[in-house]
Amino acid sequence: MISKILIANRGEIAVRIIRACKELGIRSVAIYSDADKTSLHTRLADESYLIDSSPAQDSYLNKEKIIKIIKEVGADAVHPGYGFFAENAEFIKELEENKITFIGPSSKSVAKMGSKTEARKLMAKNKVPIVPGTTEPIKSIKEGLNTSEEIGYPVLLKAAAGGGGKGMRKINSKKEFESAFEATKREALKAFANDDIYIEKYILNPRHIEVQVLGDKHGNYIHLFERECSIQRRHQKIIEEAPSSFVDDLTRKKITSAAINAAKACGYYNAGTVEFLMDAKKNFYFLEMNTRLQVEHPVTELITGIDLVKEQISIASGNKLSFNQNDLKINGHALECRIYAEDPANNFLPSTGPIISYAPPAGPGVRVDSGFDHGSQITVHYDPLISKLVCWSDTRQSAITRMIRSLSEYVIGGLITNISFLKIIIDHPSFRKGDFDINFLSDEFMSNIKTTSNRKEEIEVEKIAALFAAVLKSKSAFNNIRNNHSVTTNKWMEQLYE
Amino acid sequence: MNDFVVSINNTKHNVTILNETELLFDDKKYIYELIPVSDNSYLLKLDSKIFELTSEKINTELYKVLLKGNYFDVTVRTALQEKAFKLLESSAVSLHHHMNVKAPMPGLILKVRKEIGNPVEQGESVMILEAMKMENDLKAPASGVIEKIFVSEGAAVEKGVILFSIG
Repeated sequence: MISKILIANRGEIAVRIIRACKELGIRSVAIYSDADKTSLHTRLADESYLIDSSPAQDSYLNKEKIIKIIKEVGADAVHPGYGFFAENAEFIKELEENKITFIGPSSKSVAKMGSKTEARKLMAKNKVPIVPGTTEPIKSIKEGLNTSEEIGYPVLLKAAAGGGGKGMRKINSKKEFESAFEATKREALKAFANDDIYIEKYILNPRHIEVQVLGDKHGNYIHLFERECSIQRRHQKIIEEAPSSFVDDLTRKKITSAAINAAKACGYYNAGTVEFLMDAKKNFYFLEMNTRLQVEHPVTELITGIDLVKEQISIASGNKLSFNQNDLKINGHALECRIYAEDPANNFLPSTGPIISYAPPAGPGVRVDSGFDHGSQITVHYDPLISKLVCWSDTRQSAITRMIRSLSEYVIGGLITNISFLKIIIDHPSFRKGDFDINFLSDEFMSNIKTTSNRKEEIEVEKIAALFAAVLKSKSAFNNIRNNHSVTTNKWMEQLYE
Repeated sequence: MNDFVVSINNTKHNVTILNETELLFDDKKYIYELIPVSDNSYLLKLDSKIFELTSEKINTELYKVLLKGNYFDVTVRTALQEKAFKLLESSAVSLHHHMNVKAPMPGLILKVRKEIGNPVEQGESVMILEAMKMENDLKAPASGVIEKIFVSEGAAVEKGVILFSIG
């Protein structure tokens, strides 16, 4: 039995996990850095410990200090959230050696999926379709040229240890190969300390479809249907939904069973996500397996009614899955928007500072997973994710309407956020129709937004802001006169009494 | 005193505060009420509709205003200040007066291009400030001579620190 969990993370996901602990009657322990004293997770946990100064290397990636705290406070389990140590086989192994339960898969499964070429090899062997290309790192330019010729241009060069869009390059023709090969190798070495690279066919305008799976330590596996995460900026998801508007019943059957094969192939337990690219003809290809809880897990929770974090804790305790595949069905539609402190009009430059006003939306079908509140600081040290706004309704169209309503209610003052940008995307005719792919937020789309932003509603908003500022200035002028007056009177009174 | 000129996204609006409850916005009359909620949060009632706004006062005439997820930089001047501003603006090119240039954001001084005593044209780059991995050109707001330089290359600066002055 697990009785005390240390959450090795911050922000909204730490808050999400602490909430699950509270409902399960498990003691929660938060860790935080100097910069996160005002974050929500530090005050919600039963116990909170300062790790060190703000940079991630000194705080949330400070392995020795975190393991020391785990031992000192007597936590019997660790939940890693996502990012930081969530997919670090070395960290997990150290916990395993110290007989501390890691709420996630075994270090072996994580290591198997960590190398992209190893994962591709394993998938090909287990009847999971992979993107055509190599399953071994390429050794020479000549070998690479031959392979590219075979599968046909354009191709992608990718770092074997890569992820998150780094160490990746598109090659359109033979003559671009040599320089791209060397540049990708350099980039891979710099970012991942490993310059192994491999070749994949470039899939034209694909959609990003992923399948949520759960496995227990007794060899039982189930899937919780798919999510679509095609709306991305700089290879990072910003809007996710479940189910996908593109996947039909037959495709769903095929892709979910491929995902279960993938999980079985690496002896997986706990919650995991198998990511695929899907082309216009609904052919799908294995991309990677994320051996952790995903940012976008709430959309799956809302359509299945399953609490994924509680299931993770139950599986880690050694319990069998509490339901079978037949108990699950898709109920309605869910959308998630990631609320970032960043300026979409200015190349998504992060915005930092204190939150000076905060009012989240509420009402039927609305869920807000936030890591911050009025008075919290958003700093340069970490990802600028403030919160996730998730809306559920019985159909996709009504979920869209609900999302627009909720985005309009959301007040986050003091920082520039992407809220109005998200509203433009969600309300876009192509998004409403489900007609998009991972290149939806192209440069062209972004420049169109700037020129068409003078819409009627926005002009109205602009006028009210102008009017408000004038009223505010007139009031402050009035107050200044009054304050100055009272100061002089006081001085005069002081003199009198002296 | 009750006539204001408001600039927002390159558009100007005229606001006249008639009394505690009535105002004119571009010659249209509204009934208004401003209800402060906390330090930076306000409710503004306009006729029958109530809006929720957040505001930060940057200086005596510049306000940052948040409404419905949109951030605006709003400049409010009294009619008199606006007149003075316009006069200054039209004579800005020939204007030589002492002026301090402050860091617009925290960052690192990457390069100092000018030395004390160098003449500069309005709009000419004086320094490069690196912030959020982006290089920002800090330009001379007016023509003149570099009077003082308060930072050196490699210095980390906070927002609002005076970097150089033009005289």
